[in-house]
Amino acid sequence: MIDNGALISLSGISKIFYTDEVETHALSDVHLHVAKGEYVAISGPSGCGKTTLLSILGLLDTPSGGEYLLAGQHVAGLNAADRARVRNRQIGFIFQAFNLIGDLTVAENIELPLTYRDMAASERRDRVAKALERVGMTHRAKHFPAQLSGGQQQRVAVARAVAGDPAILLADEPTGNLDSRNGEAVMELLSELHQNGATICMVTHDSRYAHYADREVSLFDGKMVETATA
Amino acid sequence: MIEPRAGSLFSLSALRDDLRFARRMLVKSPLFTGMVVLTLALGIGLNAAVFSAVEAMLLRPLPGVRDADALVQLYRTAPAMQYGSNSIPHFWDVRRRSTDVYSGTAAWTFVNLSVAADGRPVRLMGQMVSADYFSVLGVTAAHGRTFLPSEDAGRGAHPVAVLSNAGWKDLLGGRADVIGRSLLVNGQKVEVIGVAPPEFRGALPLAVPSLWMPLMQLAQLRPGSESDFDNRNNNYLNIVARLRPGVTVAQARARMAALSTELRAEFPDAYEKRDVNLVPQNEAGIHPMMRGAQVALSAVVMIVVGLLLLIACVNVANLFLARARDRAREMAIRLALGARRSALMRQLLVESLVFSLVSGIASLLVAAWTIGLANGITLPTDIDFRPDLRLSPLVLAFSLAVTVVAGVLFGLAPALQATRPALIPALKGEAPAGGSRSRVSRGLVVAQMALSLVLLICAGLFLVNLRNATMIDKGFVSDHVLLAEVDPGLQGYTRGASEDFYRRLTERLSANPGVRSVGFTDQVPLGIGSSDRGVEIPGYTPAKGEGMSIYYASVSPGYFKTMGIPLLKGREFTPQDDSGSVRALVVNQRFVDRFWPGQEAIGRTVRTARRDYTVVGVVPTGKYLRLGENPTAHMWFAQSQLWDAGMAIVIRTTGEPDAFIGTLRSEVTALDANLPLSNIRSMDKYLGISLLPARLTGAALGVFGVLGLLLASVGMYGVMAYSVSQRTREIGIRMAIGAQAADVVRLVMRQGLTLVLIGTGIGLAGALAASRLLGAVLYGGNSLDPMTFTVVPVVLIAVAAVASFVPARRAAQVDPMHALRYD
Repeated sequence: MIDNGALISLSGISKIFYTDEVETHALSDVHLHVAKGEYVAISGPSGCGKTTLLSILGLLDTPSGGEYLLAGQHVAGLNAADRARVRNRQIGFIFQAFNLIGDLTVAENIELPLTYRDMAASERRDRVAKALERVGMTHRAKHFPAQLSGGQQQRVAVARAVAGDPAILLADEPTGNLDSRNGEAVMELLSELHQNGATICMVTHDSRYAHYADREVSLFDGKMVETATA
Repeated sequence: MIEPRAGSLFSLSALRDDLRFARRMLVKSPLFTGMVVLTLALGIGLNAAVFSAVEAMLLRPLPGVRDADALVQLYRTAPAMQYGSNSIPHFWDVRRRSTDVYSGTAAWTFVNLSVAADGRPVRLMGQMVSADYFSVLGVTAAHGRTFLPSEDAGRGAHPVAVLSNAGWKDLLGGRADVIGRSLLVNGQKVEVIGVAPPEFRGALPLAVPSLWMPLMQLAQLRPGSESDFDNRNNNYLNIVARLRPGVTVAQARARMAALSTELRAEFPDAYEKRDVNLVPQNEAGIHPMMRGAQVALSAVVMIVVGLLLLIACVNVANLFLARARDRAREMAIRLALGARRSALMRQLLVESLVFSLVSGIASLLVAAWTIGLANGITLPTDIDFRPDLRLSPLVLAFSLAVTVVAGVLFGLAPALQATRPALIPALKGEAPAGGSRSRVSRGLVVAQMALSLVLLICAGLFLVNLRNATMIDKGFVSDHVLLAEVDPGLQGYTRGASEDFYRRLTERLSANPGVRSVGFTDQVPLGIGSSDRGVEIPGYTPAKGEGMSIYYASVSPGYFKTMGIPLLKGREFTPQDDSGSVRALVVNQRFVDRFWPGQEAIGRTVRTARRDYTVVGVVPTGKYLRLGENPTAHMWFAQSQLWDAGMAIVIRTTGEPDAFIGTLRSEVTALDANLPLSNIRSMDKYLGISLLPARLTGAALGVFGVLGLLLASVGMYGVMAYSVSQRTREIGIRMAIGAQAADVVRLVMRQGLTLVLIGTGIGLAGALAASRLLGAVLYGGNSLDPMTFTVVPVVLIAVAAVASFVPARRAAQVDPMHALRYD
């Protein structure tokens, strides 16, 4: 059953990896609906399929079966170029490993997704400035990632994710490479974004941080086993 | 909702971003950039240098000449001769009767001159030209004037000269008050009336004359040739004509055909089986006879240097592939953030083009250095040989095109590879598996080995062939022979005085203990000139169209002995073969086989120029024009019976010929202190001239071959080292479960040598195909030389084995504990 009101609607999603003659079922019959403005945490033990699910949500990977509607549009069968366009316009990524490009400055990293749109340079600059301000990194705009601490790098990654005004933020273990103080700071930043209307889907295996979300869904062996509301 | 496609792939903004990032990549790793730029600059620069030679020889219009494309060259044809020279009366007829198709027709020829500006005369090369030579070519004097139409009439009445820029500097030190100064040319006073502009190099730009003088001074410039004004059989003029506006080459050719018919009707003896051959200037090159060889040699060198560039590109592609692995995460991030693959391809190609443009700029240094080296080549002859290779706009355009093509070539495979990263692992910061990259890398190594083998075999075949050419039986013994040229006629000697000079010089030289024997000839074999004469053989009926023109030389008694040419039958010339005795002739075995097969030749009669000569001797067939020539009939006249005052002195010395040069000079000075000697050099150095194009080509191919081998081995090493680094964990596991160092070396070497063997197999097939093309320019040699086809692959395999042994040995030193912790 598809909920047409949801921002994200997954129905019966499965993912099978084929290696030689071995089939690995990473996801089986996953149903997930995320409403606009909702903050959902996906948790579960290592190898349960969290990252695979997030990759499918982020259109970095395609499901083997099932239906995926993003903002009411079927996106599971899109070609690579259209998937890239949707990622660029609708999705903001925050990775565990920050994934900033070392040869670009902080400002250039934030501007990067905007360069893949047909956007005027002046507008790009405005958006970068606002994003930097939102994460409190304006003073580091000209620095390179290697000159920043881990926490600062993740704040830049958050700025990059929000600069394009995406429909949803996907965060994959955003605190995984940070100490607890910086981890808390990043989670506070995500909460702040959420309170300002952002829809967030976060993968975490840390129960402390799952509680920041409105709702927590658990995966086990590729199946959704539990949903809890905060 | 899916939004419409984002902006243009080639928007200025995107290109600006890509260029900015490319600049950052360029300075990020100086070692990487240095290796890329050095490798490509070498490949592109050598291509530019070779192309500059092609441009100078085949493509460049005559420098300093107005609208050279409207010029045509006119040759005389005869059976078996396409590009014959022209006689003076023939030139006059063409000029007078072709004004409907030509706006001007001029004649020119090289002449050896004895010129004194201040004091002692020197021998140098000038040109005797019709007075309209400069106006037809559209050249005006830089100082003074060129010749006037009135200077084309009045035999011997115009002792004036126009100096070339080089002649002005060499003879008069480039002094400003040159106009009106006097020179002594062949002992007679000549007034300098003008200096040609520096860019004008004459109608044959490779050899710049020192001065030009009017054809009317024939008696002064070629003493004893006065009768040539009226003789249609003495052909030595080159004719150049300018097409009238609107006249096509076809129309001019039709007019020349009609003119030949007219002349044949008027002068049946002189024009039997003779026609006019018109060659457009832009198709003539240095000389149309040599154009085929030039094109073939140029093609071989261009292909080989192109192969070298390909190898360089493969090396750089491998470097970029290695970097692509390091940038897999960057590509994954860009893709995750919404970059289309085409946008990443554009970004990476812009990067490779920026690298290649920087290399292109650096390549100009390589090209300029190589061109400087080539321009420094001098020939041991009177001809002022100046190749004048330049970084012209055409060469620069060629370099730019090569640079762009190279940028795409080496950038494409890594770009295709880099934009397909394993997205999820790359984003998680996990090391990529590298399998696909390794496959591409290995494929490139195979290609590189194959290309190197083709290049090396081509170079090897050429060098082996060159060595064979130097060992060809020339028909004479070239070592311990000293050559020099002298022309008492140019100093105003009468024939009697000249004969006395040669007799006394022979006596003086022969008395010297360092001399075995002495002779003279007007035509040293295997030089850049030749003479031929039509012959009639009583009792022999030529086949239809059979050429009866035979190459000849006029030689003194003692010439054959001095040259080490044995007599098969009869005798050589003696002092008794003088102008008053029976005319004697020596012929070669090919001459005998052609006209009197299986019969006695001694005592036979050969008629030429309406005179009968009796064969007195037969010598073996040698080489006369080119080392690669087929056996050719040749004949020799006695100097006294076919007089030529200008001769080459041939001396067989007991010691090193060069050591005798001082003695030779002093002996000539003792007879006449003002008589210039020229072109003094050993026979071995002289022979170097005939082999010069092949030697230059061979040297270039040799250098390119070694560079190719070097690049290929560096590429091989890089790939094997990378492969080992990828397999460190596997090697650690193997060693942990008991593999010995030797097992690991074998494992890695097997992988490397498999690639080499595959590349060698493909390369051998390519080399076989290339050798068939190469066969066209080899000196009649074997283009399937088994030694080359064996040695080159063995050397390549050995070098590649060393290149893979170094990483193999490093692999064997892997610490299993370290390797198993390897991430």
